[in-house]
Amino acid sequence: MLTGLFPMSLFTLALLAAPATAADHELSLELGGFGTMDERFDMFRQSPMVGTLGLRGAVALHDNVAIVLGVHHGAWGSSVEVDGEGSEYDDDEYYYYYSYEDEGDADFQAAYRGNQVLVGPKVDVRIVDAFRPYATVQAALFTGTVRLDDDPDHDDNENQLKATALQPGGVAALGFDLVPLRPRQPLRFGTHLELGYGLTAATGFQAKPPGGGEKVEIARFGFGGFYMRWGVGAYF
Amino acid sequence: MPTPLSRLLPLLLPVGLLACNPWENLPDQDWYWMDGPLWDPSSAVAATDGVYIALPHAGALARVKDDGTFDVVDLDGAEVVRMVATPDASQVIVWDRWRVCEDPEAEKVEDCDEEELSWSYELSVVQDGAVQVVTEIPPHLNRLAFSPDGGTAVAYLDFESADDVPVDGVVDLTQVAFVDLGSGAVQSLSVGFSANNVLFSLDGSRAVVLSRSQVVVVDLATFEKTVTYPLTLDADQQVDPNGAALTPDGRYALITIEGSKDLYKLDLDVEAIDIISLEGAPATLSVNNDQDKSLLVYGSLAQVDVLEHEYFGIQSVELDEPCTAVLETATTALLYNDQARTHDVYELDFATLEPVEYVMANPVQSMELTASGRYAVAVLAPEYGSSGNDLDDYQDNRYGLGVIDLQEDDDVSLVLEAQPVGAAVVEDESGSFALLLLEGLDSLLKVDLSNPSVPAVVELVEAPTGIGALPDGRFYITHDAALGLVSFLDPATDTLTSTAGFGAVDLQGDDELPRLAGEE
Repeated sequence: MLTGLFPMSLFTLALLAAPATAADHELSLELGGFGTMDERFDMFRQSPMVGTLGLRGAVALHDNVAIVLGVHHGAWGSSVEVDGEGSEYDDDEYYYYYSYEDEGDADFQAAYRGNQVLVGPKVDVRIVDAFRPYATVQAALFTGTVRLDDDPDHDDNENQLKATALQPGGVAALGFDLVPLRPRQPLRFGTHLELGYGLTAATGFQAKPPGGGEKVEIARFGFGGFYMRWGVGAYF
Repeated sequence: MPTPLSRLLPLLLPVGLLACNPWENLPDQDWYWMDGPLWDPSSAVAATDGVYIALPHAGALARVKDDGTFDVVDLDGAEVVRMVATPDASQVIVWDRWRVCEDPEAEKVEDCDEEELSWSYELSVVQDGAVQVVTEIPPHLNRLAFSPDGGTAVAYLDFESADDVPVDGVVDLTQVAFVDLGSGAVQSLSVGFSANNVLFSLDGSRAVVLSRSQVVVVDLATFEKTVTYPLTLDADQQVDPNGAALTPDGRYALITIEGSKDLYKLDLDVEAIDIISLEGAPATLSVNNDQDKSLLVYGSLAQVDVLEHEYFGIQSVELDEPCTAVLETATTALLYNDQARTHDVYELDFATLEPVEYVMANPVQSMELTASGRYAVAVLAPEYGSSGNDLDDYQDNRYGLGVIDLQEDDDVSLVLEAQPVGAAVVEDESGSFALLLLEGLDSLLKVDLSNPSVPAVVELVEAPTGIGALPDGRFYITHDAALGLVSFLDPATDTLTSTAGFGAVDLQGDDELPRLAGEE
């Protein structure tokens, strides 16, 4: 048994004791998560965090410093049911009351499709060549489009409202790169994981009414909370 | 060694596919419930400058215009409770309210303890999409009666239509409030318990306010009570007026009492009360100003009484079935029953007092006369319970449309595909038409009343929920669309324009207290 473990331990030590090399450039495919503490986002997704998919690229500036650029995309939507509220009509005067008669049918669909662009420095501590913990602070710019549609099965209904907004923000995270294989090869494959906190400004989404006129705000929310990225990619 | 770019391309592929995701496929992973409704179609009030519609979810008021646009009336954070148009439709009177927290530190409703949270109420006069005058009246006064010139309104409590009676400290149930709509000045008066009917003299000089067991005459120049008429001499006896009208000369007030065979005649000039005995408790009292006569119909008597206003003599006309409702032109009256399952409609000529009988296929649910008085259009209710298979049963079990040609003494009862959700009549140079909206149908039926069997179909953008008249003779149609949709119909050309999207206004507005403590 010891004879079996010995070569493995030697291999591990050899791997960990590998000499440091210059920082890598990187291109990774990522899965991400971003907190949605703002309850107003529940209209699109009732979850404390929403998942995204994207790319991360890094350009090494120094042995331990790289600039990372991440671009992520996500789309979320809900069938929205407005609590049934009946009304009573009396001549030209009205008053309304709650009846909850119409529960069960979605009244409109709300969707948000967004892109997240994050850029900032990543500073790593190279304990061994294969495992590099790092810290990063990145500026974020989210751009997204809210769409409301009360008849999504048809393309010609009047109420297809669309509004786009930019949401600046930032993230701070700790993570690590794990690039264990073929350390001396010019192109290596590895993985990374980073966890932290992110926040964007809550901004209003202003839509132009179907018939024209001044824009009206149809949504207002921001992102915030837990931030996560996990990816696999090429280091070179 | 340089990295071959081609080896990185597979990483770009998934993102490229994402970018191709068509926007038309809206993501739909969840289900969300929202307090609503976003807009209330039944709240629509037509004014000369647009249709005003309450947005309950946002707590806002929208003005929807026929050019496809809309705007939001700034009520300073208040939400609409109810609204009504002035008689000339130039203004809309809005009862509105807003949250108030006693804690001056609280900026949001959620920051405020429930016991410190309350509503404040006001009355806003809205014109051209903006608040012109704001005033305060006791919040329980939920109805308005307008003077003939529209300059003064009397606010009173109509308990039967009240959702609740807000109590702000104390409530005086004997109170009415006179509101000057120009300045917002309010004068409150105690006029008697449950004052729920207000009449104005034609010259607008005085108002007659009916309450339990008494009638009060108010001078509108001074807002002072000039005369109080007790309707009973026994304080233990309570009588509730249920119908009232002034004679055309404004001298007499005619009052019917619920469940009573007595007709009260109040002389407003010489302070005298006469009681005219009737054969039954009248269901409706209607004054015809052109004929200077009154009509009384009874739910339990198959007769109509014609009351002349000089000596107040009554002439009774026998009918086959009782009637409860009256429509009038200058020369004739149309009598029908909207409370029973009878089918008869009578045309009564004031000159001859000879009734002409029309028999509808089903009971009359509602009836309307064209402006010229030539046609009457009735929505007929189904008579459920018929179980036979003959044609009569087929008709009995369905909604119908009755059309009466009062000139040709002809009538027809049509069978409708579905329950009407709205009906209106219109008359212009091209003819007389009934506009009919049926539940679930995305079209409007335009029935030519001279040839009602072949209606024209006007396609609508969405299923309708209601129809109402605009002051300029056109119509607005509300639709079953959560985010807001109103169409404007020109009946002369059958052209439709639509305005949409107003229901989404301030969809995710915050919960801030609109007026902080001390800023009201």
